[in-house]
Amino acid sequence: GLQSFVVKNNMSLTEEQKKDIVKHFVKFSPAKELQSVVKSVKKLVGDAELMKQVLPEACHDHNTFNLIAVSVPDSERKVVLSEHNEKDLTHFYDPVGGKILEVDHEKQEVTGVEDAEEEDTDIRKKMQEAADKYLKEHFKGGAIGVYTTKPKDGEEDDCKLWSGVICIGNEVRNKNSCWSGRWKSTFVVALKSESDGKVTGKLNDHVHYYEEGNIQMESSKEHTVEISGMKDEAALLKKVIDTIRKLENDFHTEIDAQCSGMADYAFRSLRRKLPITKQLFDFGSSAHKLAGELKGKEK
Amino acid sequence: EFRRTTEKESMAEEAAVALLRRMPPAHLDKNLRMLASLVPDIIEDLLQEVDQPLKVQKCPKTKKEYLICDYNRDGDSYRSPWSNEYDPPLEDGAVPSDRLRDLEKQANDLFASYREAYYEGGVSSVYFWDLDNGFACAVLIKKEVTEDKGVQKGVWDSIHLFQVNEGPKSTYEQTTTTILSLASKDKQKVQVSGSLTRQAEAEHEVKNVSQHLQHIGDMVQAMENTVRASVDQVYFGKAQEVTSHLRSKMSLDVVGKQGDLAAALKMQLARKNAE
Repeated sequence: GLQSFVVKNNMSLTEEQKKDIVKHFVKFSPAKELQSVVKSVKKLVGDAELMKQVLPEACHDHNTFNLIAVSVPDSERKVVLSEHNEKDLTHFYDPVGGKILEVDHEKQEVTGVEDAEEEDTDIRKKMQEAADKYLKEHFKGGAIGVYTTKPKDGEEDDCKLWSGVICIGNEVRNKNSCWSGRWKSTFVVALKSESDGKVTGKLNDHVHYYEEGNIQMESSKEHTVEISGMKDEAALLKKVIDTIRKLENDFHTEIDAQCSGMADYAFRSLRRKLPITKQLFDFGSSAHKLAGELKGKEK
Repeated sequence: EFRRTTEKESMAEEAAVALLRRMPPAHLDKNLRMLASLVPDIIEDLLQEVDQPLKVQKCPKTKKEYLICDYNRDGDSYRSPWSNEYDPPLEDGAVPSDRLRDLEKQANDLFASYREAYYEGGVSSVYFWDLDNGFACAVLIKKEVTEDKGVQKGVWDSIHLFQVNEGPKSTYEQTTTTILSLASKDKQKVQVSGSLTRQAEAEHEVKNVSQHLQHIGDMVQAMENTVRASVDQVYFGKAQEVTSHLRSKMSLDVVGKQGDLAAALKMQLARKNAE
């Protein structure tokens, strides 16, 4: 089996290889299960020093990959952790509060707050206001981050008005019912002028249900929408939000539709409800028949 | 070769099982390989505890397909239920006793018919092995469909384990793991996969050894039909339910207003009734 294969090939791991394995398991922790996964991984690695070295980075990668939201101290607000507002491994820019947040990635908490040097901009503020309203309308919990970004080389013309990313992250868990779920979506927004722009959305929904085992559902989608002919900036920003709403609603509706469809499929193509006779399979008569045949052979 | 598991290994195995229950089922193969290199001492025991999708092999003698798992494995070889021989060949690989081998032959034919009736295809295998007070058996079924009606790939694995204590009344302890995986790619990728495990027990008077097959068969059928009935809710209903806790398609503003309206109406009716 696997063990003899491993031993035969003398597959003892280097420190780097062990760290990569740790990072892999941590990255794929389901919603609100990070601490449980870390606990298991610590026992498996059995090397406290190695874990101390790799955990901050492993948990950082988990949090930015999954758009984890952290609570801002002394506030009701939450800030989405992403590569787009990251200053370094443990520091993230909060444009709404004008602060740099220091984050403990394993605890998924803010441990320090400093003033940020950068100034907010009018257009980002307006985009944030519209985004906050959208979050309230469609999410119970979670957070939405609106982060200005530098345009990629060669794409400066397409972003003359604004380039940024809108990130939505929400996690839920019900321990009693043995489930957890995570919604994460990223919208790259390029506004060319007050009338034209482009929104590229990357959406992901993940569910973990573990009452009687381990069942997971994941759906993902990537889609670009061009915007043109808006009459002014206000109309353009509204259109960006409407585009996000439509992308997310279509994505959400399709998940529901496909789940129903696949349930039907499982029944028809994988395993029937009953044999075509509409009767249960009779093990009794078959077994007797075979027993009789066996007795016949013995004679 | 019997090696007592140390407490450290026990803890590591427990941690590995707990971890695998959280990791994506679709990554199970890859994750087991990583665990094999990280904690090689526990991998043998771990493979016995963790249910993986079954693999298909062809019997070199009869050319018939069979399913491979820990229950027909000896070292790196697997025993075909059709020929009772190991592939790659083994000098003295573990085989069931003669009376169990007879039962095993009957069982493989019987469950092949059962499988055809419900799955209309697929592969099945049954393995028996001797225990002190009776015997154990594994009934395995696998059905796989690719690229059909918008579904990229669908796989169903049934792994039924029985421990039978023989006596004037025989007891049957059943543990069934069902592994299901469905992926579609229509307009957007949706993948549902994972396993669920359930147990059942029964007690029967047995006068003739082939009666065991009827009891085992009845329990397999009952369990599979119950599981299949709950697949809809457990695999797909749950996914939709949890997603609805994450996000609301309808504006919560509207939902809130509807709630307010309903509450106002209730109050009005209550006032009216009081008058």
